[in-house]
Amino acid sequence: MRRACLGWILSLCMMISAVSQTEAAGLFDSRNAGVKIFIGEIQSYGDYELKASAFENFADKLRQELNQQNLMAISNATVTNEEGRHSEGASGEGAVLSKIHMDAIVHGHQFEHGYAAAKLVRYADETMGRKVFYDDERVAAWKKQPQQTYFLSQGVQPAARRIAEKYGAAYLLFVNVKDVDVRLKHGLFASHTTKENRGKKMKAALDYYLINASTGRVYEGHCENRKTAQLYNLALVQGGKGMNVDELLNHVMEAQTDDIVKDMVKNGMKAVQ
Amino acid sequence: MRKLIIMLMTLVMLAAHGNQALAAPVVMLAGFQSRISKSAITMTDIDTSFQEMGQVVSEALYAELAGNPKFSIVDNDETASRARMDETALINQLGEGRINLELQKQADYIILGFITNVSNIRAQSGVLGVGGKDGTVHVEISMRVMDARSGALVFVTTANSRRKSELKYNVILHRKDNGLGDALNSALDIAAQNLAAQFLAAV
Repeated sequence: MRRACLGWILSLCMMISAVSQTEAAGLFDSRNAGVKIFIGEIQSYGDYELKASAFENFADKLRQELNQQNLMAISNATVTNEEGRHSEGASGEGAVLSKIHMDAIVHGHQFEHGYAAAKLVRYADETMGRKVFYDDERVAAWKKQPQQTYFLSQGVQPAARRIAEKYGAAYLLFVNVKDVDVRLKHGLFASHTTKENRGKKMKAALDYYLINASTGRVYEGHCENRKTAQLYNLALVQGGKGMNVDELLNHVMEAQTDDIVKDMVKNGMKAVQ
Repeated sequence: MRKLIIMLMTLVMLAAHGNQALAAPVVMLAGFQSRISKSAITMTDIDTSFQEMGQVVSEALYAELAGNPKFSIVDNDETASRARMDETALINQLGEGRINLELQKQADYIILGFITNVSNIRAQSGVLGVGGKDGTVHVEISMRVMDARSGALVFVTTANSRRKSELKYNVILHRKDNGLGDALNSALDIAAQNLAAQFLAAV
């Protein structure tokens, strides 16, 4: 009996010790304040897209920008949702996030049926019917009121609410980096010293969707940013700046994340109330 | 016998309480990986490999974070390498809500570092042979802190640094300085310090 009691106490001691070791205090508990925004997906549903790593960089910059505005950005580990976006057979949260994103896009002002990824076109046709997108008068009228909010489909709203509840977020944010275009400038006076110093220009367009999780109301934002770099050697004058594509993309992304967060704070969050 | 049991139980509870109060979260530094791909129009004049760059940043970050009483940091090479090799599988597993028991035993948080941009920006200006050229190394890195239990990203930040790599001018004097390697190492080191400062400010 005595041995059994001692054995029981020792095992209890080991269990408590093990639990106390694994339950360390939350290191970032002090940050758990303020409005919580769940970043659902940062992806491209356009017909040109970047490598996955570019979306990852964009996601990091966006989170930092949101944090600087005292907005608490949260996401699951797969913020770019490669599987949910690209795998037709995807299931689980990734597939649901992709569906919510697509639903927000196809109801939005910026959706171009002819310049969208195949998956998005299929979803648009299934959900709204192809005819809607070729009703030129309706499309033109809708594009003229870009600030007007709209709702997710009835069938998608509960899924958005469930995900928001799971992460304790008030809003869901989706970014569609739909078009990034890089042109190499081979002008007459462009410098030809090394490959990376030739002139380049980059143009990037994206749409973002801020969703009030409790109502399913969506605010759509749009931004376009450009950056050009070129070294020039004229007859007696030389000047300019040369940089590689990653550097250009870096500048463009910083401008984009800055624009998104400013617009979201100034307009988006009020609009979806 | 009863007294003995009560005494032992009290000791157990005191030990557990003390242990809990002392338990600082364990942070695992799982190294730095590159998100840049070398191509004809990206990095052509920087010869340093991404592995070497990652090592410089990793060591600088570890030095900045070590010794902080709020957490203990581990940099077990073998475990960190495995965490990076299995990064996608691990993230998917945690993202689906599955628990990784092996990781739980070793860390509460995992720092995944990334080199996101390395470039040498050139600038030039001059008229009638009077002028100059310069080069500036620009490094940008980012850090994701992942909760080892839930897979949630609990903190994400980026940091960057610029260092002059080349200076050449012709006025009356002619001068040329070129130290791309030194400028790169210095920029990586400072970027790591900036990253560490942001991490420490957040905890």
